[in-house]
Amino acid sequence: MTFGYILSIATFASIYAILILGLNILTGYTKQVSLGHAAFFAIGAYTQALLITKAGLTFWSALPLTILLSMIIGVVMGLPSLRVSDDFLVLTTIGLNFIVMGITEYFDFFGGAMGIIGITMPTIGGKSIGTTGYFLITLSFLLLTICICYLFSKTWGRLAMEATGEDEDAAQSLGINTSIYKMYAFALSSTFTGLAGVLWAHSIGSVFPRNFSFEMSVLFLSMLVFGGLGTIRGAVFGAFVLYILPEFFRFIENYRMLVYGGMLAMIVILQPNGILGRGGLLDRCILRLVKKKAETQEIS
Amino acid sequence: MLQVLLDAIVLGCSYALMAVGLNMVYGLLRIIHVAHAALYTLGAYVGLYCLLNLSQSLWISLFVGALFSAIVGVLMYRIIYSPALTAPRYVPLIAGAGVFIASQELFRLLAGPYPYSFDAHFQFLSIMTPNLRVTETQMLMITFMVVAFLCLFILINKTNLGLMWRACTQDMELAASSGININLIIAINFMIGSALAGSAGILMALYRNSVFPTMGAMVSYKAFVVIVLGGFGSIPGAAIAGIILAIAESFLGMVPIFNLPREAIAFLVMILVLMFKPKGLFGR
Amino acid sequence: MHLEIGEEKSGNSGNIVDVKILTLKNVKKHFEGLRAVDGVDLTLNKGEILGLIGPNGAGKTTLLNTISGLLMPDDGSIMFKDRDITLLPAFKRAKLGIARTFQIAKPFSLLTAEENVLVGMGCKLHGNISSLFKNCRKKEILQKADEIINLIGLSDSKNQLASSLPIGLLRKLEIGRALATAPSLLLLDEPASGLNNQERNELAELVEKIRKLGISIILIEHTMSFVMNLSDRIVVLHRGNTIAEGTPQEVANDPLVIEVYLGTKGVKYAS
Ligand SMILES: Nc1ncnc2c1ncn2[C@@H]1O[C@H](COP(=O)(O)OP(=O)(O)OP(=O)(O)O)[C@@H](O)[C@H]1O
Ligand SMILES: [Mg+2]
Repeated sequence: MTFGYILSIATFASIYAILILGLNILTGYTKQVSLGHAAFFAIGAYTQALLITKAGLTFWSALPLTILLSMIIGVVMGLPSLRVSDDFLVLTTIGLNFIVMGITEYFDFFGGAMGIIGITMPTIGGKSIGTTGYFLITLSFLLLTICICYLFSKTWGRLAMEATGEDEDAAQSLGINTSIYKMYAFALSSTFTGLAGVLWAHSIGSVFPRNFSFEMSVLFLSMLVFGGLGTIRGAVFGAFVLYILPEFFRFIENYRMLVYGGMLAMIVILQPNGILGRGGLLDRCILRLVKKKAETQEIS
Repeated sequence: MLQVLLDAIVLGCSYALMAVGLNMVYGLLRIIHVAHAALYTLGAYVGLYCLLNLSQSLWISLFVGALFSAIVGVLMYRIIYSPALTAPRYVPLIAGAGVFIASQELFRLLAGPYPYSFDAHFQFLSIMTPNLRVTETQMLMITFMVVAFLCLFILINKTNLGLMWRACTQDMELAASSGININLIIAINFMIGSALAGSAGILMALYRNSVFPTMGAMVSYKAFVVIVLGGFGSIPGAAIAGIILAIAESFLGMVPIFNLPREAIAFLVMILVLMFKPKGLFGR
Repeated sequence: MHLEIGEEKSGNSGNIVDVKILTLKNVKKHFEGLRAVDGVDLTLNKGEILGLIGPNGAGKTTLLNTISGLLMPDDGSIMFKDRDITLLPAFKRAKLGIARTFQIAKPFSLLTAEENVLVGMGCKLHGNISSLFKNCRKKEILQKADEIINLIGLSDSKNQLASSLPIGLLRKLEIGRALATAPSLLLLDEPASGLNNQERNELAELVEKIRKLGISIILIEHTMSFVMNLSDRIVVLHRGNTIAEGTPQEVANDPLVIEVYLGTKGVKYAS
């Protein structure tokens, strides 16, 4: 296993962690399950790709524009959630995934099925930064995202989002305008997911419609549910474990979607709060240990 | 023109047969049964296996395929849905999506990624005139769908079982407290819906002459659209909407500006409908 | 205890002031032909506890929902503190000072008890874009939350997830969460259901304390002793209409009320 290989795995794992942190705001906090998050990912990646290859911008000059656009399109794509909820919203997100994929595939402007190639690595001071430099950039963005998410988890906004997700009636009766918070969640979520798309586009160097399929959306949701809905640690953990494990155990590679799919079903039924979520597997183990300790102390 | 319409109707039959199972589950449990697509593919593979190894008869393979789908459908309910009924609503949904993805892989691993052809010889009616050709397969599909829906209609509206089923869709707890064995009703519900999905899989395999691991995906996405158009939980709605969707797709696809992929168009229509009528076009 | 709940604290706390805080005029709510609430008139004075009783399906919860704004009335008007709130959505009414609990407890189960209370404390700020940036775990805010948690007697389990709390504590938590919004009107929908005797007594004490803070209360309850002891005035609802109104004494002796109650009880016992 070469250094370069490990570096590329670490880069992609960090990118996915950013994406899952974004998904966490939407699905972990406001419980708006998205089975179409690859669409938000695609919007970040494609916007950046177009700005770089067609408008001739650089990584740094295109980045803010892409993020802004991701946020705006995210809110527009979130509008249906004001009318429909629960299962119907999930169908809507699946639909958005197919629509975005269809649009990128069938319009020449987006490169069609051939995609867009030639998305160059960012430069600093005129020099290309290479894979190590790019990993460091990705890692800093991940750390920045974690910081923002951590600070956000301490705000009134997060409380209001979680309240909205758990029970809209109760939330409303405590002064929460649930529609607004659903939109805020879409905006924040698509911002981070768009950022992940940008980073992804540069590290691959090209974007193709099939990179953003429904299967990817299922993978993203698996990562979040596996780690634990509604927690930062769970989101990062889920992204890293589910991305890295198959890379190291190549024999899994062939069964990847089988494992993901099966695990998604099992985890969500047996352990709806994931491995590291609140009241999840780890929490319960700790609770049990603490209790045992207390008991043994009582006896002695 | 007539030929296009006819082909669309045949396609619509498969949508309708899939959507009906989805809608039966939704009507009873309020779950969108994403894993339903797996049963469609399963039916086709089992039917094919039967045809190649057991008997040359299409009828037997149709029966065995449907039976297998029915059994697996009930197992699916017991294993993934019944433990998740009291959980938050996203739990059964995500679990279903997981099973759906896993099943596609399973078919690929067991049978290989390449399509098999589905050659069955059978005798049935056909119409062959210069301007309209209805092949035996098409005739069979249309007949199957009409008969299936008629049986379902009679079962639901004229039998005791149907009465109990309707009671369960109204209020499960009330039905249980008035002595109806709801577990049995749910099992039968899954059995019928799954058998229809399995048969739809076999019939489409016959029609397209191919069986492949992801064959269930497209038709099940269409089935989602169909239940939105036809109204959640409404069985006649599913039948009508299935055929309407197939016709709309076929004719819209001929208009140059709508050269988006068919599923993108279908989902676009679905989202628009949901925006204006969140309970579906013919929903109550 | 120096709680600052309730906007206007009356000097002689606990006494009813003859100021109308809530006025319902001819409020109707129909569900496809079913007249759940069918033209109810109701007034509530400041500092008063109004008991709302009636047999199952009388329309009590529906009436409460129209007051809190989760349901819009089909007809009639609702005035709150001289302001017509008939068409206001629920979250705006909450900001004006109407808080409530639910018949089937609706805690935010993945939040801790403390965070549940904090959600209520953010009432005035919620919806504002600045809520996305403002820290809710500042010392003075947590202190205030602690006061409420102490008041409802949940200090031992404030860091537990609400999903792990027993029903007795959940009922209290819901009240605490509602109190945290600094309401002037509190709507309680069967707060004592599912509680044992001791818990019920604690709850009664809590309600008394809340009244002393100058908060007006509408209390729906099936347990007669509970509601009769606490209420200043009682309104009896039957098939969406008020059939009696008065002091607990008067209502208890009202022949119509007795008939409605005995009637339904008779049916209950027979089945
Ligand atoms: N959303 C709704 N849709 C249709 N009917 C409803 C709805 N909510 C309540 N009802 C009906 O309205 C009537 C009044 O219900 P409500 O819940 O207000 O009664 P209640 O007095 O609170 O009874 P309980 O003591 O059992 O809580 C009942 O017959 C009920 O079935
Ligand atoms: Mg009630």
